[in-house]
Amino acid sequence: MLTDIQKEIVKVLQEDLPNTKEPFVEIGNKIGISEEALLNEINYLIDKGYLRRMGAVLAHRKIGLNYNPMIVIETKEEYINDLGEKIAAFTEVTHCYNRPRMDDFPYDLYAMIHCNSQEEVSEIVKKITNDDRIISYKLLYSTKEYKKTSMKYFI
Amino acid sequence: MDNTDKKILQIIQHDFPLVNRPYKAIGEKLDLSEEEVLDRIIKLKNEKIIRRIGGLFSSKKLGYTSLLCAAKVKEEDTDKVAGILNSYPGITHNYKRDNEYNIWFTLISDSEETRDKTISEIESKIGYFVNKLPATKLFKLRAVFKIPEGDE
Repeated sequence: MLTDIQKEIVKVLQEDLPNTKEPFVEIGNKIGISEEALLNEINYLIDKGYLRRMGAVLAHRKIGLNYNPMIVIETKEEYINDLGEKIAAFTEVTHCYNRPRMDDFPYDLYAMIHCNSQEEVSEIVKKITNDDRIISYKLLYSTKEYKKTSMKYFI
Repeated sequence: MDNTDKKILQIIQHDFPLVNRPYKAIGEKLDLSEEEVLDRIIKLKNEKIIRRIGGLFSSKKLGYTSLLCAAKVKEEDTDKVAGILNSYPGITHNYKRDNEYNIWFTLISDSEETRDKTISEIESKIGYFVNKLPATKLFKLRAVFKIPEGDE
């Protein structure tokens, strides 16, 4: 369980860092702890896996990544783990999960691919799918982004 | 965005330095002054290339449950359905995709009870069945991008 102060830290760190030279001093002042105590808590949250990382969230389309299909793959139960690991290893893949099948959508693995050209997508998809363990696959492109935000926790 | 901006982005999307003067630390890696790094980052935020700098949390570790959902919605209803979905703060991603299953969204809830209640409520509001696709195994979750090369 997180302490109250750790929950406060989560709340502040899910917003944007202040644009000042000493941002952690400012955040510490806001929640009433020293910069050193704050940095220790942040490192604790990272060590324990609450915080996956501290970093910049980029708008992928604005950095030129305009080809972002979701690939879904049908395979056999016994290959799910090995294929999942293989797909996850590509730098162009940011998300990769095993999910339950739907009756009319018999796919086991879901991955998000981010590329800057159609050619690059084809190349990656070929590398991923040129594999006897794959029965079928499909690429789903988004035609409209209705919403994309970060979750706000503890509010 | 020039190559210096790209180098800064590459560093800060991986790991933002957890030190007293983070922009100075980034500058030392790239042979830039602290002021220049901070000015460039502010510019990249204003241009909405950087959505934010901060913490990326594990919803699961924080006690939340995350769910991918898919629905088959008639074309003429898609925007209306999406509008209803967007009103839920726990729905963080919502896309239309080129498939028979054309509405895809993620829902983050503070418990499985809340989640199931929310899904039932959504189904009655939108008038369509919502398919639940929980992750049975996570192989990768790391939204760190390979930044394309070349000046823009």
